[in-house]
Amino acid sequence: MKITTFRRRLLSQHKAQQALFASTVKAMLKEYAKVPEAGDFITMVTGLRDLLDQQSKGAALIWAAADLLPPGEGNRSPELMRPTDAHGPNCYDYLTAKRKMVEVLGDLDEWNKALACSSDVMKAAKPFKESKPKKWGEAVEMGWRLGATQNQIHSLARQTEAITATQEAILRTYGIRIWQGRKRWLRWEGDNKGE
Amino acid sequence: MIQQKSKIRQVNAQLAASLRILKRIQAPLVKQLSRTVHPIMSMGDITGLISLVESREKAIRALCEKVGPIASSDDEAAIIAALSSSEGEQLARESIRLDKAISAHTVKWDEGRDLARRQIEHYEPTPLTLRDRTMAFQYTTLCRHAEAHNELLDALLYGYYLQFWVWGDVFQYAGQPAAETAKAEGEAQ
Repeated sequence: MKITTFRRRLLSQHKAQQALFASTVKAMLKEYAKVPEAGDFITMVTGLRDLLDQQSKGAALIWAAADLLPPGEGNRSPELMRPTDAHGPNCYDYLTAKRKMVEVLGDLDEWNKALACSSDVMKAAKPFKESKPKKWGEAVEMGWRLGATQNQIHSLARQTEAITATQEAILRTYGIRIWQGRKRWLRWEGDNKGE
Repeated sequence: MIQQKSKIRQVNAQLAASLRILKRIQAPLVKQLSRTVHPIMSMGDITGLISLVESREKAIRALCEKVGPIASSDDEAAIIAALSSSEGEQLARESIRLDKAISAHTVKWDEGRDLARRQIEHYEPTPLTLRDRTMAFQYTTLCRHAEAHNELLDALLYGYYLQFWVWGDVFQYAGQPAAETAKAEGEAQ
């Protein structure tokens, strides 16, 4: 298979992955829209969605620019080289969004740890099964719901990582290696330290 | 909050979409590997991972089917009946075994071959090495989606009130496969 054919396949796969992510997010937000306690969670999930959006836009810009170059010379892409004060996104924005995404995924895991208590709640409620059936019923209801949601969030986090890996794969078809971009990115971070 | 039934429907729809994506990622990799070799991955790696995920889905669906439609989430009789049968226990243990096998597979790729993956990144950018790098990242995509699918399968278990901690109440569940438990019991006697 030619590398360009491979890329075409990857691009359409990337689109399908994004669609799955979007539908999962939509289903989860719909479920929690009416729950006041879920405010933080909704912020996190929408934050994740917006960051992925930003990251994907950054990646798409780099691909578009690299399209103009011969294979293997993608690292000379003007989007990678463009100075940070220039208007419009560049490779730094892509990398910044990616780094923020890792942080958000970490926060989501923390939130999940709290959710893992759901099974403890159910275990603690078990002795009251006979004496307070209503209380027990509520605990069970809460338990399975939180458990299923916890797994869905984990799944969402893995999907995000999968989309990121696909973007990396597409960048590789152009010969773009981010570790070269990263060197510039780190320097760029240093440049901005004083601000 | 949505009801249990619609939650199960939601998870099932996500599972179907997720499986389609898994197949879609698998296809170009398999096609490529059937023509050439790759320095750090083989056809067996890819088909192996996919078949692990599919087997776990089969085991979990069979388990859910044994429980059948649940009227209310605290209807324990159906769950206990399903898990107490030898087939039920076997399916439950099988799903744990496959879960661990999937994790082991992805860890082997992420950590075991990290150095090799880094080396590929440093080759001269010829069309061949571009392809090798692309395939390596594509394999990572496959691993992440296999994990995502696996998590959704666990969500399905919760939908049927088949959480792992319930299993512990029904049969001797210490996380090890049935064979090891039998061996440990034999030694104790």
